[in-house]
Amino acid sequence: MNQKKTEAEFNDELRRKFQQDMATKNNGMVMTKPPSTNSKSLEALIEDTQNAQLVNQDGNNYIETIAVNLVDDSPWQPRSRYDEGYIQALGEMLQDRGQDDPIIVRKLPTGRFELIAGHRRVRAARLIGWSTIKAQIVVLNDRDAELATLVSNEGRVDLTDYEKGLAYRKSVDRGFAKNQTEVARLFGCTQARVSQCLSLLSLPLEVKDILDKYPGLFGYRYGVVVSDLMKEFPLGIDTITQGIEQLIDNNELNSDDLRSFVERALLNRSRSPIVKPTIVSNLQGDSMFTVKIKNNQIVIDIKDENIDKNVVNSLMIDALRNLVLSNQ
Amino acid sequence: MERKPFKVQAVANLLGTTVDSIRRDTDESGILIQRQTGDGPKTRLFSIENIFELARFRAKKIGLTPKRKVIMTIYAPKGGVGKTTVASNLSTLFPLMGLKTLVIDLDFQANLSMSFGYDAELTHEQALDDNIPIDKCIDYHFGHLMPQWQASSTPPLNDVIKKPFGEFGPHLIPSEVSLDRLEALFTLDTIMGKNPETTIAKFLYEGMNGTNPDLDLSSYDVILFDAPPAKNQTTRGALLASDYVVAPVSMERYSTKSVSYLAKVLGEMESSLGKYPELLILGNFYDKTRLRVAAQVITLVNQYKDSWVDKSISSSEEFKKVLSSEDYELPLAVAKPSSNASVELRAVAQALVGRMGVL
Ligand SMILES: Nc1ncnc2c1ncn2[C@@H]1O[C@H](COP(=O)(O)OP(=O)(O)OP(=O)(O)O)[C@@H](O)[C@H]1O
Ligand SMILES: [Mg+2]
Repeated sequence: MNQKKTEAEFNDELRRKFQQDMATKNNGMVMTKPPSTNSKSLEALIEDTQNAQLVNQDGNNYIETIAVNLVDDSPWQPRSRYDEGYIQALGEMLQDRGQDDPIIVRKLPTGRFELIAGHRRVRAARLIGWSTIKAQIVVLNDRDAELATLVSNEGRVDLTDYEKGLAYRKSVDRGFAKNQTEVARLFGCTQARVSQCLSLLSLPLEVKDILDKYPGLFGYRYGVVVSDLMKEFPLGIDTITQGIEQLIDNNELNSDDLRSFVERALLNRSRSPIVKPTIVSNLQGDSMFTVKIKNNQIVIDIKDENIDKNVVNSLMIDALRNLVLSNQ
Repeated sequence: MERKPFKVQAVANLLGTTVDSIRRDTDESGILIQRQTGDGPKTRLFSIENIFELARFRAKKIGLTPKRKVIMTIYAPKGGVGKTTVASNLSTLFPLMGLKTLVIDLDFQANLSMSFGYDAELTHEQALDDNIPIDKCIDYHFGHLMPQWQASSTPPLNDVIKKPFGEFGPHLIPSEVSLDRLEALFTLDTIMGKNPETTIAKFLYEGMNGTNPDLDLSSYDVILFDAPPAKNQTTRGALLASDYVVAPVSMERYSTKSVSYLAKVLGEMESSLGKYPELLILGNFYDKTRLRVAAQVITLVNQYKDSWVDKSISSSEEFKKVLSSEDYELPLAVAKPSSNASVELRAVAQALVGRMGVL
């Protein structure tokens, strides 16, 4: 009890102390109050929404069996290639277990259906010769259809980083999201992921050409190495693309392999003309030392046998110490 | 990983009682407790599982019956304010008070799941190779239980729920990175004109009623969500389903904005659906010696008098120590029962249970 009182006193004192400060600080800052009426119960919420849904059954959403040959791809879907092995496996699964979830389509004025979600399932169905497929038919305008297609592909399956990057950029270009934060919210991933996938789109055109053909060739980590290499070897794009193309035949290779391939090719070539030794001569013109930079080493050749190596060595050490000190 | 056993005094601290009554109740319960080996006194060595079992026994013995069941979400739209810390400690303390507790990790970053010793990145193969129990892997998360997930079938609840400290400790629905897909599926639903906002509410309603025998949550007294800082549909869904939202605010930083945002979200829920959770604001990183902190408290208390929880959690290095120590898989409240932080956490748990009218 006693303790409580002192705490209250303490707070009171502080309150007085801060009253003035607070008065100025809260100026213009609107602090919303939480609602104060009584919330309805969970049960009431569920009952009310179920009733509302019954009223809402306006035929806008229904499931039907439709002809596979009436189904068209979405013009907006971000997947650029289909893994044949996967489609085959999916086909076998459909054959074994039947179709669990309907594909999602919208009906076009032509009477055909345009896919929103289920591009791979439709391909699998064609492969195993199904003539019909279970579909949920929704009514959507172009804009919503585009958004739904973008989002559903992302939500359902493993798009490659590059394809994700393309979808993310599209969502910004088309005005569905204003910035990376909004993209992340739209696609339900982190902003870091968005930024990683988008970074692939800033690679040089030559590299993106490869990714357009082989979107799964590499992910963002490898992309980081590619752009690092571009910075280190601004003129090395041909060599870099050559290095990347090796991935197509050998997916065991990783970004370290790319780096060493590029370095091997470019460092060797560029070194030979540059590495000329500096010659240090005496007044008579006899060369006393040659000094040469070799990777991380400086090689000093002592040409005159009379020179005391120990003296040179301690001179060098002194010079280096001075250098270190002056940098501190 | 071997967990350090607990001595009687620590157990007494955790259960808020005396050493004598712990001894008595242990004997009465017939729970098998290890004894120290060697020549010295044969002290009882409780495992963490033993403690939770004893807590349940004591609750039964005194005929403890919760007055009501509650669903709560630990959420503030600000990162790093202690949501996960609060969630893991509360969900550990509630069972010690005799409440059957389920905690649901809604953050695909899975910090909560990791704080209970699960590894979101561990594959079955790796576990086998490294001789780690398969149970440490996370195969399913909350998203798998949602109708939107559209997998061929919903996994049985038993395969989803983890029991880090045994049957009588907290139960956990863990998370891993693919949970973020749920958000995209909710977005898709929205575009398709379906209303995903009540999905989680419906799941919990049916679960607590036991309508669906495969997804029966009716045995739980308390269900908590650990929400991510994101302002997304998953979080809103959990809020809508909840009776309370416990919002940790960091007293070290100005948090009035985040509380204000949350209050606004609740207001929107009230006007659109008439259902919203009651706001409870919990001070974290409290330091009463610092004036800035005191100023914050005063602002919040003035503005949100009815929501302010009058027990706070001080800033304490212990929280970080637990994370980096061998006891990683134990929340601080049980890892260091006699630390100041644990005493405060227990007081917060008590205050909340009282405030919510559970006991
Ligand atoms: N009272 C405290 N004193 C000291 N450290 C604390 C305290 N509470 C939490 N922490 C530490 O702060 C960090 C962030 O806490 P936590 O992960 O619980 O926050 P969060 O709100 O869940 O974060 P996120 O928004 O990323 O989900 C953790 O390292 C935790 O140990
Ligand atoms: Mg967290």
